[in-house]
Amino acid sequence: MLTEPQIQRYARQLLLRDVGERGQEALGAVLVELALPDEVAAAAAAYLRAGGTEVHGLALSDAPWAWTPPLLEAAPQRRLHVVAAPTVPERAAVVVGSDAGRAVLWSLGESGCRACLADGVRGLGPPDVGAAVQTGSLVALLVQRRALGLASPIEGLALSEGGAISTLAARPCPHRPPAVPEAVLRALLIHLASALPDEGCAVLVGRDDDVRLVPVENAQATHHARDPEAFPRTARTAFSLDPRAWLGLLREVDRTGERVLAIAHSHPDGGTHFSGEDRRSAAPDGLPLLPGVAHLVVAFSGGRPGAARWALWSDGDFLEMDCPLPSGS
Amino acid sequence: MTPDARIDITAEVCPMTFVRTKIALERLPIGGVLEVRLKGDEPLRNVPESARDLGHTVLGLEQLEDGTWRLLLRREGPAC
Amino acid sequence: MLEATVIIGMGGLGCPAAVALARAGARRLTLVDGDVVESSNLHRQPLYGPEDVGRPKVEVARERLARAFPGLELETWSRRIGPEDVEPLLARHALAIDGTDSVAAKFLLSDSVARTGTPLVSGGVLQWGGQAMRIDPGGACLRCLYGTAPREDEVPTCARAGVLGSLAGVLGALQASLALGPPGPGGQSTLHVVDGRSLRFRTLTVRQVPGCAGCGGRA
Repeated sequence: MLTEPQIQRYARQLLLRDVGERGQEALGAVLVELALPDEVAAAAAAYLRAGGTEVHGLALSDAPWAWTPPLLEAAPQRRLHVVAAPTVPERAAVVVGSDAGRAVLWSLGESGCRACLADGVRGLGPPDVGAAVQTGSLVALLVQRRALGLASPIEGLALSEGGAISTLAARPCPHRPPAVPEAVLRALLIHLASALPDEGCAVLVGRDDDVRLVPVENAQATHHARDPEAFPRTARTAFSLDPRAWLGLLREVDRTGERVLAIAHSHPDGGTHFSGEDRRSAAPDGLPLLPGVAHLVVAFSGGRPGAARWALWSDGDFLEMDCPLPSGS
Repeated sequence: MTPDARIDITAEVCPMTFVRTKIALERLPIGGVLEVRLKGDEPLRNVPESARDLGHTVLGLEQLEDGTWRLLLRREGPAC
Repeated sequence: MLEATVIIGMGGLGCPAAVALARAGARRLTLVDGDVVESSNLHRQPLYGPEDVGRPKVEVARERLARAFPGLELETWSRRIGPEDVEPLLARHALAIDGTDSVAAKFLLSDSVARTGTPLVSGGVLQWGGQAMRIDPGGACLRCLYGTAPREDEVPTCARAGVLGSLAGVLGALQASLALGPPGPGGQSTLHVVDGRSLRFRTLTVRQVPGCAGCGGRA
């Protein structure tokens, strides 16, 4: 609950539908660590503090701003890091840089993808201090949006000569695995288990919200039997989507307007690591055969699914991330 | 009707009149009823309408003997 | 380089505009505001601190700006200006910034551009958004944009009178950028619209209305 002095100070902000008492407390719960050139930092700090958010990391230069500390009831709990390109540490939430004479700002929201932020800030030079008041105000705006829970997963702004501001379009995140409903995951696990002790494989197709399982036969055994030199591995340690089934599937999704979202396979008694062999199959010449398609590896142990991981192609390599399995699998 | 909370904003001027009202409403559970004692033209014009703007319901507005007004508001929805 | 700019209203817009202009090398600024600092100003007017409450805004602003920009010449008017002050004030400056918060004042300033030949950067901020427009002599004015001035009581009730401080910073800095930039082509003005809630920024071309009561309009 806000105190009386806080209500007086933040009255005009409390009136905003998106702020109110809870929003004001959210602004106060964040501590901003600024690592920006002094003049940009001065403007950002001035507006953040004025609005009720504490700021650290500022050399106390002779800025024209009032440096009014925020009125807070409790110490802030979450740190939010604002940094200058090109040095962007892992924990950065807001990055300020420049690109061909424009100031560029990127802000990563709660559910934002770090790889997307890395894409956005790649190649940015250090921030220009020319439009320090404008840049600093925009930093404050982006931070406040994030603190208030109003920010998109990733937000980008550009500031041109003459003051024009524009939003930078963020592509749909290619670094996220598809959201697979529990029922589909369970069906996948059953299918993969049915292939044991061999590797099993399947394809996940669909549209954003609508994912379905297409079980496919592991054709590795057939390939190996036909041509053991070209296909030295057996179905125990390798998989190959049955070519006819794969082609048929591609034609089908073409018709239905769905996409191939992921290819899943199992390691009957291995780990979930997207192995060297897996990588070579997926990206034989160092480029993914199926860009935009995620890979899912499910590790079985003692005949039961143990763990699963996604492998997503991003910027020259496969990023791996955990895939939680339904309980009681 | 017995309100869940009461505030008296007869000594406030706009916009503090509505700031107090908004905070009091936010502190209520959804469906909670707030009684606001107010006086003067500006609060009378602004407070009920502002509450409605945010999606809350005006349950009643009556003038009392001492010239002040009693406004009853019901808190609606989480987005206020 | 920008000479002699007057900033009318040293509140949420005037503060960042003044700092941005000073940083860009403005040599002379006239600051006009009749108000004293109030506690509820502090969240969006970061030239003022809690210890300044009760002091005239232009006095505090002068101190802060003079200290940060030693070469800057500052003139201050600590009073609310009336219609009779506006034209002489604009006439002796190269450019004016509208930092006012009343509809009447905005239209008064807009109407004075054609009469004084002094460009004005109009601006306003409310809630999560704002607008800014540079009005040059020979360019479109607020009346070309809005038709007639809205009545004072058509403006938002106090529920809608909230404002986010950082937005005011964005708008005031934008006004400064427009002041530092070139005049618009004749016959039109560019309206900048900022929405900090949806994070959208647009520009619209406003054409002069023939015979406009504010700027005369083109034939």
